[in-house]
Amino acid sequence: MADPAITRGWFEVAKDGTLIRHQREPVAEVTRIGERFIFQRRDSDDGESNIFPIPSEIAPLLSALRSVVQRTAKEDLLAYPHKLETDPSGWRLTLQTDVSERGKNRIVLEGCGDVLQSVELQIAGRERRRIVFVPAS
Amino acid sequence: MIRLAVPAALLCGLLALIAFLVEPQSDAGAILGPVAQETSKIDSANDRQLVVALVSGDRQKRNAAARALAEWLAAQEIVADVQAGPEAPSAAFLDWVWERRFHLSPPTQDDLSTESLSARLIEARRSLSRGAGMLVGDRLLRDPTGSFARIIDRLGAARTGLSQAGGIWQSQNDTAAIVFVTLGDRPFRMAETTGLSERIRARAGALGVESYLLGPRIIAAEISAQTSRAARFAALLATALLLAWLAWILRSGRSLVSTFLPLALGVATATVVVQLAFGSVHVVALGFGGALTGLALDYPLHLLSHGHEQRRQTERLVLLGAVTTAVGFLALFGSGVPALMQTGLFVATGLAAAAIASRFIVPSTGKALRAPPIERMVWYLPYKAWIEVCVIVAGIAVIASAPAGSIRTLFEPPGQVDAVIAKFAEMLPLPSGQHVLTVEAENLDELLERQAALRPTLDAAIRQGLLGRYGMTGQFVTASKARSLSDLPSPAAFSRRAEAALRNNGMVAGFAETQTDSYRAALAALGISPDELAAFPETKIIAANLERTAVGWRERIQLFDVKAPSGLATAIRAADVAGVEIFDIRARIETALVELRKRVAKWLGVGALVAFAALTIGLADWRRAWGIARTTAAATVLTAAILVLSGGTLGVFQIVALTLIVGIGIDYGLFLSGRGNNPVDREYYRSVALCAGSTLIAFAVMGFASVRILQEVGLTVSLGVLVMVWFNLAQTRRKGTDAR
Repeated sequence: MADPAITRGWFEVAKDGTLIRHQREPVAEVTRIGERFIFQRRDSDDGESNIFPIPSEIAPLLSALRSVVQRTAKEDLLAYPHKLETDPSGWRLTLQTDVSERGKNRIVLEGCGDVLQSVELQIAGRERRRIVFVPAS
Repeated sequence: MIRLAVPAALLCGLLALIAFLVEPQSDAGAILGPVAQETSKIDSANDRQLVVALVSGDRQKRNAAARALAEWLAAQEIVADVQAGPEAPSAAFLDWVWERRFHLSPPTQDDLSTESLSARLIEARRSLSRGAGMLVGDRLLRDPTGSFARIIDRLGAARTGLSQAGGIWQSQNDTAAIVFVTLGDRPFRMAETTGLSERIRARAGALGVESYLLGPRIIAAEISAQTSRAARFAALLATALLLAWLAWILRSGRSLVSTFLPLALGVATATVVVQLAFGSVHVVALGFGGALTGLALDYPLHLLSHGHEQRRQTERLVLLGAVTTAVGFLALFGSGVPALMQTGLFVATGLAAAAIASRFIVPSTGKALRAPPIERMVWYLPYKAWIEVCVIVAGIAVIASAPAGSIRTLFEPPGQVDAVIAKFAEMLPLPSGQHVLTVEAENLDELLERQAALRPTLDAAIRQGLLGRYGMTGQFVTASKARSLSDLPSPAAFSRRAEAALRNNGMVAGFAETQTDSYRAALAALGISPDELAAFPETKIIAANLERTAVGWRERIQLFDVKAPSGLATAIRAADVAGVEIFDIRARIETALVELRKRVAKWLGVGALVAFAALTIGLADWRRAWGIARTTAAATVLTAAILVLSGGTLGVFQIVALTLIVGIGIDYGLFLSGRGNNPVDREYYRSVALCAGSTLIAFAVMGFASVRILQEVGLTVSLGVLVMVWFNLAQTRRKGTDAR
């Protein structure tokens, strides 16, 4: 679909190491990404009202996302089959996190020099989510 | 020596046959009939559920314990599945739901209007923009009919309804971590289930939390284990006391063996005969019949108590007593209740075999045995016949006019089970075990249609506050008539509407092609079979109460928090949906028990008359037979009246125990009627004293058991023996005068 849904917000690494996704637009909500669950809270809710168990096919993608944002466990990421491509505009690292019946689930990291510019989560035969990091203004 | 060796060898042979042949059976349906099927089965998927509550004020501690216990349970062979918290649906399950979504929840014509498709697209787009949306997000967008979204919502509702913390289910009152366990699809074995519950409790204790377990198999195992423990303890204690008593009386190991051998042969023969006649032996026949056959211990005692001169007469009286009692118990065949028919045959065969065996095994010793001198307790009762008749009439009046009271169930759960159920009621929404709503149909489609017709009534009952919630397969699967997919628009027509909906939302119209491909695939998908429902853990629990019957399909709908049973029943009956039935299982069981009691009492009455006829023929003296029958009836009726006055309505097993009193009465009457106080007659009194002492020891021990059924039988027989001896010692002549 050539008409992406766009959201805006920021990531935070909590003291206990979990990744917290703060969404500002289009709907304000906080999502805590744990190892087995996604805990979601909207401004209108009282506490973490929605808890979603993470399906096994998506778990590696979210785990990789946590590692990337937290800049930890680089060796865990590189343990996945990976391919590094470079061109004058920067670099592109493709990690194959899982192989399902529908195809390969991938996480694609793009950057330039030591700056990570985007992370793209690709669920085979389903959807692609791209997280673009912009400098704090 | 051969007198003991041959019967001992025969006993060994019978025991080997029992080990090879006998199948104990504990089906409540064999006692209560079809109504018991609602409560007695513990083989369905739902019956294999087990809930473990780990209680601790410290949430982290109980969660850690739940995780550790769940991990340990998952490794147990007896356990099929463990869930300590919400689990993500598997990719395979989501694919299956996606593929079959039109069969699971078909869209209506309204769902396929451009407006509705537009609204669904807005929802789907919102979902995509959420963090959690990636779990199902794109599929909501590819299926704007709402079919997939509805199924996902219903799946959520079908879960436990509990909140979770740290990925672990929490009790409603936030005091416990909850672990749901599904036991493997294998036959219920008490020892296996008890072993598992003991290991769970030990593990929980080691993890520093208190544990509570609830599940049909756990309750059944608790009841069986407590009954077995109590019965085993009573049997051991009674045997030890009897052995001590008989050793003191007989003062000879050989006599002791010859006293017990006929009883053992009687019980073993009865077990084999019942197995051959019925194909299995019900635990009621085995336990209850076994206890009643204890009367057989009297026969060798009578033979040992009398010298050579009275041997032939004693043998005759023993055989006559056994045959008369056996005939009485055979009347239980008329009750039509399989377990009681087995009990009748068991006691009849056991007594007959023991009486015959006594004749060959027990020698005539002529040795005076130690026995209580009850001949000194003979008392004078003028107009005995008239007084006995008056006692019979008054006793019957008392029994008939006693308040009906509440009928007690046959087997009650131990007290701690009730306490655990009450504790769980505070922690979990438990489905009603009392109010039963069933839907039956010839095939699964018809069943689902009937459930669909019932749903508006149940939903209205929830709105009116009659019911908390309900659970049935029809909430998840739609009947095929309702999902006649041929009525849905063609893919081309759908494509046009989808394009318009996309444009309305400012989305790229070309995406309609992807949506149409998904729509076409959903239309072409195969229907759903019940086997598929059982293939996924997510649907297995939803369809757990769905079962095949001889004529089709049946589901017991789970009702939660029934607030107004009569209002709910009225509303359901008013809906008049075919194949739907709602009833109160407790009321049905009470009705069945009243009916059972009447039937048993009637046929035991018939048995008493037949026994009287047999006695008259056997004695060839109708006056003496009438005297024995009258005294026996007076003592039995007086016993029953005392029981009614002290404890209310008599239970089924108490009524059957009264038949044993009749048997005992005939036995004592045969030996004591017309006796005087000469040395020969004194032997008769003393043999009856030995028999009464033995019976009292065995049944008084039962009377102190912690299980109600044993207690009732024990107290009934003990009281009956005392009353029977007291009546039989009453003489119409003053002491010192000889009757003969």
